Amino acid sequence: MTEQEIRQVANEVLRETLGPHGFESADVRPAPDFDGEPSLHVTAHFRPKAGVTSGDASTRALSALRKRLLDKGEERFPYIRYDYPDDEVLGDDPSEPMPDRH
Amino acid sequence: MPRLGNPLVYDLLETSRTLADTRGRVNLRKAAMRRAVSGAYYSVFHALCFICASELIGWTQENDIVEPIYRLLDHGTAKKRLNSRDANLIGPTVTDIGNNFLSLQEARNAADYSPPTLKVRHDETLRYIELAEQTVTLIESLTTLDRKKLAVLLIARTRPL
Repeated sequence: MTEQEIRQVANEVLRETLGPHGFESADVRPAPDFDGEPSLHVTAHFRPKAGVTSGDASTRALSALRKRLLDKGEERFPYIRYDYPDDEVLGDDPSEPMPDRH
Repeated sequence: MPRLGNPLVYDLLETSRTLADTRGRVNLRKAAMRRAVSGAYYSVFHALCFICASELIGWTQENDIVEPIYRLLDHGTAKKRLNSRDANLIGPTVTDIGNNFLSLQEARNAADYSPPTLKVRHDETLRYIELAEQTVTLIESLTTLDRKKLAVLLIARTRPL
């Protein structure tokens, strides 16, 4: 499948399964997983105040997406990251700055 | 649903929740959340270890009989076999367990092996814990027969016919 086709399928499936849980849109990026196997990295963007998605909803969404992709011949596994706009993101610690790299 | 007979499964989940709510320095909280994600994955891993040992040997056997079977499960083999058609043939619950296991393993790898610059997200950490809890619930719901099939899938050596 092309990236555009995968993105379209991901948006359709996640809208069906996660729409009631605040899902808005999905991006897809082909990239290897940590073991180096070809994979799909899906970022599911949510509305503000959507809250943490339940394990049941996450399970249904992932399985539905995996099945729809396999039915279309796409074997790469879709790893879904959930992007909540009001999530607390912890980056660099200002009290312990990392040394400059050269 | 009756709990699995392995308390480590549930204590790892409870530990993950405690870690996710750590307060203090940013780097300390990041480290704690990374351990929380790792613990959530290991909760499911130990649930699968329990299934293998309890279904193939019996959980009440002596430890030196249980432990070699409990420790047979390998992370890479579990990933490969839970992502296979053979897993899907056992049933849709095993398919769900497999999909969640892969997702949690990828998150665990990032949490355990990425350099300290990894950005960490609080609600996403909680979501992985929720996913692990749901996966344990799915494992609890398996019939005895499906547990046996899953155990064989996970640790039996496959030979060509």
